[in-house]
Amino acid sequence: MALLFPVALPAWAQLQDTTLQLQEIVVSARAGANRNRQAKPSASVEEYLQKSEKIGMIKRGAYAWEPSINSMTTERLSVTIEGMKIFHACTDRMDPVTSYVETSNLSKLAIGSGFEANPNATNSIGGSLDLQLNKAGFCADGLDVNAHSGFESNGGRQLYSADVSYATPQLYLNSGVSHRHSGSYRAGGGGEVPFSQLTKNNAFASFGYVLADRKALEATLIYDRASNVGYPALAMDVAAAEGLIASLSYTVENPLPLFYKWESKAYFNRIVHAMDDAKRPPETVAMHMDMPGKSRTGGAYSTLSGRSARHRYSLNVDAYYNQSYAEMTMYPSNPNEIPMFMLTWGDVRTLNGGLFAVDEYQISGSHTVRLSAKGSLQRDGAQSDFGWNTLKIYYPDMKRYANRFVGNVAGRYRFRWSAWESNLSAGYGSRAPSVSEAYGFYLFNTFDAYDYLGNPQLEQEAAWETALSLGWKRRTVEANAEASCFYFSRYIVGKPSAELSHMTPGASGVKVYRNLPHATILNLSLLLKCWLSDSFLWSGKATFARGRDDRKNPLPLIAPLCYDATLTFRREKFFAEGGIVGAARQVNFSPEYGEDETPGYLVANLALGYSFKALGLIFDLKAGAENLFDAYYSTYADWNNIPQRGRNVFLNLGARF
Amino acid sequence: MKPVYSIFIEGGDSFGYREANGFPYYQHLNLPLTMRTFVRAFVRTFAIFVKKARRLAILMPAAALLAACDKNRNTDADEIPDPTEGLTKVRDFQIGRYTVSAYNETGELRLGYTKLYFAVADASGKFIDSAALSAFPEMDMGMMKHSTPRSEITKVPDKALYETYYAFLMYSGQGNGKWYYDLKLTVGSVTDSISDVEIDVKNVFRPDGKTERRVIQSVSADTSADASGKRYVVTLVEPVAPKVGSNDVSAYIHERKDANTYIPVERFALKLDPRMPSMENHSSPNNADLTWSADEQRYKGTVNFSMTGYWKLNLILQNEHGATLYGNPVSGEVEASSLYFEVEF
Repeated sequence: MALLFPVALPAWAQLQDTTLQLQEIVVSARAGANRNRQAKPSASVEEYLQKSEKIGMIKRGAYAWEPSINSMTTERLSVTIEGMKIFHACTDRMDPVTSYVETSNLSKLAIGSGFEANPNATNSIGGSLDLQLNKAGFCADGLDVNAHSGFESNGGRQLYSADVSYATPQLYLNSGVSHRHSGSYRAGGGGEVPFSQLTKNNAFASFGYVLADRKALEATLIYDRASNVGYPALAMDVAAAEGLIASLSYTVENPLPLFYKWESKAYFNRIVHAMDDAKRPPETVAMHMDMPGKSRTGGAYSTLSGRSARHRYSLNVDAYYNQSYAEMTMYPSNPNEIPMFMLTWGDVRTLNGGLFAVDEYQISGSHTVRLSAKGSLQRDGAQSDFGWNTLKIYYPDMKRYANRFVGNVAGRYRFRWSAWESNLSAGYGSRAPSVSEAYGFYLFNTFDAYDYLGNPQLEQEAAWETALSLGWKRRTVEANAEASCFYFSRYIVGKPSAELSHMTPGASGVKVYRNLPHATILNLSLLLKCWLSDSFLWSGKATFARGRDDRKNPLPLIAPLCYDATLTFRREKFFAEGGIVGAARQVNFSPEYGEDETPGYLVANLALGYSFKALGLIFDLKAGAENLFDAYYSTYADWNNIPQRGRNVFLNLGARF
Repeated sequence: MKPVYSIFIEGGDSFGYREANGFPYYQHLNLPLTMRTFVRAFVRTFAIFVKKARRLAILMPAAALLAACDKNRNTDADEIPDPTEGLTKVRDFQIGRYTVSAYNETGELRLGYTKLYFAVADASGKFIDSAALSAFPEMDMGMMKHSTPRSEITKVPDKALYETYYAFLMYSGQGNGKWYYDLKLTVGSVTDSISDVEIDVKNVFRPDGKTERRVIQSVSADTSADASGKRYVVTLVEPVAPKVGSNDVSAYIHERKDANTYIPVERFALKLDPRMPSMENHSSPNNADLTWSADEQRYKGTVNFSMTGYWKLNLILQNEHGATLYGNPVSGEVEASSLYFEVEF
């Protein structure tokens, strides 16, 4: 638990015992290039994330799953791309920011639980996710070329990607392109889930140059465009979702005595998102709508990291400015009526600047204490008069801009003795309401069929977090049990407002975001690993969560008991993996938020791999089947109970030069 | 006590706040020598800037004064300036040697509320600001004739302009009717008039240009609270330029005494419920019912539009005791009141 455990894409098993992130001054190993250790190298970023027991995935279709950490989603998490703030552009959450990158863009996914020491996490309570970019690094690897292709039977999904990197100790350059597309998938039993198709293209380039002794300049550019993406669980699809992510950073090694690294970065990203219902059969579309949105963020941060004999510490200053704009045009069935237009995000601007400090002190070989604090000032409001006038109808005495202070303090105590390790952590922190929670205007939620109205007069949500973990590790056995509990005050959630009238055809009513006096979320997890021999690894995990509001009613999207077990065989060029994934019946569901009881399920997966050399190239061949017995199932987090993919046979071929 | 933030300019007594003991302020700070030089340079630059700014500040009121004198010089003659600036001409009426020109914002007479201004000019084009006007519009439908709710024609203060409004119950051609206009002008002791001049009252359409838009409604009290059968005309005035957000909404209520006599009613109220029929009768909150405004001499309220599009302003006409005279609440199956106006933008 307790810390950022960077989940490396190439090897999930590598639990790095890092206290502070980014210990390397420069990434010297080519971390992202070799995806071939994965059971299914063509997996999407979401599929990789899903393997962590910390992460759950809300699914509205085959694409752009929304990650949750500690049973909390986007508005309670900080998702950054190597420290860069980036915010989704879709008012209906069809584009979590993890959907604007490809696996080839990334080297690691660092997951922080609760108020853990992620210097650039702001407005987060549940945790943080930092997607670390794939950089060749300043090393002597020279030229490296990779090509990859994958095919999956279910939906005819295909992936093609190629990247090239060139690295010397003086400079590096790596770049790649990828293309992914798929038709609609079939659920267990063979029924097609219409409108679950997708197309995604991605290109990226990273560049680094050593300016002078111990000073380096690095730049990254990612362009990602998904088009014709279906969302079977929603009423609309996406015509195009386009992301452009750019950063420039400057790093100095050993800038000052006691500090080993000073990194400063300026960045900009832009997301343009266009919802579309033009492909749906007209009889299923109550009213044709256009819903484009955009999100632009610019910012900078500077981190100073240092260590001495017993201390490791870091100071960070960050600032960002975000523009979130979304509009909706509805075309009435009467052609003589003019279209109806509104701003669903009235050009909401957020300016945020913060300071962060952390220190870890090793009292002795077995006792370690860490303290961290972050404070940020934020100013947000609807910049456009149109948007402001709209909200003023509902909040006549609202102020144009809200000034807020958000922050957190957290402490952790770690005890190690023999094979045992225990972590006890506690923290208190707050977050500002998200753009939708504060300024969203009549955002229709297809899950509970309510129109959601933002509330600019919301107070900051705050929470106490306590977590306890106990681990036991031997050469062939590893076990870890963990519990985390969040006690919220001023918990932000939508509550029905009888006096407001709905807008979306067929909606049940209007919910307005309010602060509940309190709410509780509890997460439990258990991990077990056994190396049965040099070649066989058995691993299993189980998780459970509960969430309750102030009246002890269940919170939505809380996982029931989930479990999986995997047996992996690896010897030289051979690889084989078989496993099961399942969940118990979801009994603590929330009817208030449109949930119903989700039955339990159990699916089996199988994968085989073989590496060989031919024609002077190294080939990696992987084949396997997901949902081997073609079970029809949906999970607690599947929007409107859309069924998951049925049996899927995949074949991957990678070549390295 | 020494003021810490006082500013001292060496050699410049014209500007600053010299400190009692005469020390430049930076000496308090005990700064290093180079720093002092820097501060000195900065303070000097600042002083020059302030001096220039002061000079400018003196000049500015003088310039304003000159400009004001200029204006006075141009208007001191007994010539009256054109009072119709910003308005569009509807038409001219020739009454004797005077031309009476009708103006308003749109240049048209329209069904429902139409504001009208008159400017009176003599043969030489000089505007007359001491005239008196009265008028009578009448619709001739062959079998019957009627007038329409209207106000007296009154003088606009401080302008050679006269104003009135009409609440046209019908447009020209409706029921094969035609509008005729009588206009009487008195200048000094001389009164002259014209009569039965045909005027063109245009119909009002929704943005598609072909569907009629409801902006005026004739009703008669027919409820259990008041079954007197008294007839009223309700006329929508605002919003003229509706926008998303909060809008002023205003209306007139006239009681029809006979076909030619309509008396403004002051103590009634109009309950307001705006709806979007295309959006499952979506409504907006925090609207204010229309009540009598003595200042503006009409009923005023607030209507909130949560989006652009077609809105129905459902109304209930209530008397001074809150009893319903006409109209019904909107709820469930009842999608509209029998009294409503239309706004589409």
